[in-house]
Amino acid sequence: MNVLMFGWEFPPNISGGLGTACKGIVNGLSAFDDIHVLFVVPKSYGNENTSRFELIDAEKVASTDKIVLTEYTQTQTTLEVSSRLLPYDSPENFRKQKHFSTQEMEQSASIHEPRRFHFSGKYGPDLFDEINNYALVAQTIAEKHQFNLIHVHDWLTFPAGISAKQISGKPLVVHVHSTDFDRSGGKINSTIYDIEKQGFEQADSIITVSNRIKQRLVEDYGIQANKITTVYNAIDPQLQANTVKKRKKHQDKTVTFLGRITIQKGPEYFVEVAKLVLQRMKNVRFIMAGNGDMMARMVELCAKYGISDKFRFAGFLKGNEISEVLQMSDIFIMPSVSEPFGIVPLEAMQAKVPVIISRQSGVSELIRNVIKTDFWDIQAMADAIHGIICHRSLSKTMAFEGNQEVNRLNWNMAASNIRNVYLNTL
Amino acid sequence: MKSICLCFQIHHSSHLQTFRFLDIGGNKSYYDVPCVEKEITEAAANYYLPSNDFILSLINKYKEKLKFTFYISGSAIDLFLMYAPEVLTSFRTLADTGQVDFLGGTSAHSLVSLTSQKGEFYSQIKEHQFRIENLFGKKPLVFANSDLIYSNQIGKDISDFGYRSVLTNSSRKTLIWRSPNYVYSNCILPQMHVYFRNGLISDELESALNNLKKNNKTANTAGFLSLINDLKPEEPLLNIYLDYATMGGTEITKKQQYLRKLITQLSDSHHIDFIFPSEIKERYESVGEISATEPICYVKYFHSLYYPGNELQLEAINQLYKLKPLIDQISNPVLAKDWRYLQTSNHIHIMDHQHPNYQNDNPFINGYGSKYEAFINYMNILDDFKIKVKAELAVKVKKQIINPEKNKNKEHFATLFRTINLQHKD
Repeated sequence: MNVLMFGWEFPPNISGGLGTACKGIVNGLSAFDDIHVLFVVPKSYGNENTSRFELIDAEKVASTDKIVLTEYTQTQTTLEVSSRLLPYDSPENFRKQKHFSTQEMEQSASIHEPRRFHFSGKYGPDLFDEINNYALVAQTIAEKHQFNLIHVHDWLTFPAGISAKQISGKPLVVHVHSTDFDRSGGKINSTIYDIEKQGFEQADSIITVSNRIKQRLVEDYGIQANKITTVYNAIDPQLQANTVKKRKKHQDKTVTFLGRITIQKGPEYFVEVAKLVLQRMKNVRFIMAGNGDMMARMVELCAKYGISDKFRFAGFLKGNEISEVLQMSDIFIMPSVSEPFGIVPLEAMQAKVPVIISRQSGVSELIRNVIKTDFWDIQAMADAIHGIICHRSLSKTMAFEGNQEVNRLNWNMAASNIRNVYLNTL
Repeated sequence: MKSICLCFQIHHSSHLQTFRFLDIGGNKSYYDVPCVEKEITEAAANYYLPSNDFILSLINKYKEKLKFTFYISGSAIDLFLMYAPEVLTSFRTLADTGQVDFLGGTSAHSLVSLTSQKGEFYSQIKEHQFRIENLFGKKPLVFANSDLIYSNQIGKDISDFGYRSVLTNSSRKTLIWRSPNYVYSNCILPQMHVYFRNGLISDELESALNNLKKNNKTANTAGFLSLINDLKPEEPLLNIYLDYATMGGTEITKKQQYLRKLITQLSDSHHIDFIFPSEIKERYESVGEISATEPICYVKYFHSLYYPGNELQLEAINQLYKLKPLIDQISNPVLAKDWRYLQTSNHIHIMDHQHPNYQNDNPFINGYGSKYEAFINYMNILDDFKIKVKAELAVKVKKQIINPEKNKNKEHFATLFRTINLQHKD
């Protein structure tokens, strides 16, 4: 079967976890002989590894005049972005935001002429325009290609998926990696919510990355549970080169937090936990790696508690830096208030680091050889850190068993579940 | 003629409450007292007292035809004394009929038999034996270790402590092709006889009792009786050993109906009689030696291959019994009690993911989300206990120094303190 898949980014050109997940899914699906994937991105850079599927660059597709603007896209084109709204922001962009240049849209004079759109493929201020243009191009792509099924990833691609469905009449599978509730920490954007809700309603099947998200869709979006299937994300097998433990320069044990420093990642709980642990132990350091709007407050909080000497802010980490920090860590902690899935704990387990995660993360449904606490239960988290540091037998067991568990995960398993969803949808 | 030995196990332990590292050195209790109290009072009212009445009525009807045997763990006796002494009175009434016997065990329901602490093992066995005799007027003659743990070495040890026969679980790895329905002897010490719980039939009786509601048939005992009739006629013995709580609970009247019918049918049969474990030795000869180099055990829903346990369990046992030399030096009754309670095997069992409590997805069912948390909690308590024991020792040493006449042991205490400090550094 041919699958027309719409994504927003593709490795190595990514700023979030979405692209990595898409790559895993596409590669996993390519293991099946009966599935051929056409992957559409707003903008390609030519450095993607496309040996196992076909990549379509939306920028290079001419939107023809013959297309009928559907009611949906017509209403959507009137959307305007007020202020500098960043609905799906990444730490990288948070930094770059000030320098973000508005992409000029190159439109031909007449709507009856074939035209092309430019896409930044980022999460900038013109996001809504780009999404709508993407949906227009999607119609052309849907007309030109043969496929049996449409598969889209997260709200950015929902309009594209819906318009492709309207043109082709093929079933639509919506893959939910996160909802606006998870990204915004409760203060949802009503426009995004509407796009998401419409996508969920139009979808013939929905795939969520955790039961948490599934429940969210049922409760907050009023979607029927019977068309939702949970397929957990996976992780690529680790490369042997990464397994060499780096020597630390100091004797202290290192506890690492890695992620955007925003409300939904629970950074203040991490600081509170650090304070508790440092009441009884002196040989511990805490690293907070990442960037975000709560960073300044976290620095102040550390100063207020007088633990700045034991606390390091590592800033935003890229590529290899992530695995380097993990190699140096003795404990990885993810106290997320709301996490649709959460891939970093799996990376930590690959690096043989004992992991503590909140029960409010999707990944906690999947893995067992970690310590799970509630995000607000700082006592329990502090206790877990203390226990792992004090008892070598515990840290050894957790590192070993966690590593074994994560090595059993692979994208082929997830892809096989996705394939089942396809077959049930057709 | 076939002899049925019907044994029931009664065991409760003091549940540990959440004990954080910040609680170490404070005055927090180790036990979840309300929870334990609730468990014991409910068990007494809904399980043990009605079942004892039922057993008594059977004995009154069939007189000496019936024989029942109980294993009551030392920790359960302690808890009954505290919260439901009427249970013990009720057992005394049963014992006075002469048709009820008791098995010996360790006073703490501990795993001490797996360690090299022979002294502690001996004192626990003697204490349990003394208490059973004191409470019920019957000296136990057959040994049933905590969770029926048995190995060649344990068989030899208990022989040194006065027992001549032992009951254990039928384990494939020990019996291999042999039937559990014979008497065997320890391969090191042939005069030590080994009896095996018939796992198949015991479990079948248990599930028959538990599934009465489902089948909704009124006491159809034919299925279970056919199992007994299918046994080879030349096999002399059938050891049934199950949890006494199986007889009580929600469907108690149905269960009693079932058992009454079953026991009537069994006692009417001319081929079957009931026997005490203590009578087996007089009546039956050993058919051969049996070797169990690795310990075998019986823990409900657990595999019998479970021992000697995982790294965390070994570490916990090891750290616990490291305290033994210190415990021997002090005579504080409160600490002595804690020392016993901390040894109860339940605290160690729960440090395994195979434990039935973890098979349920609800993380709140046992208070521990994982074996790691169970380990951390236990080790925190052990650390606190260690501090208390050392404080007690320090007081004792001070007294010795003040009283010069009793100063002979000063040297001894000095070495002892050195060991304490060394251990602390570990």
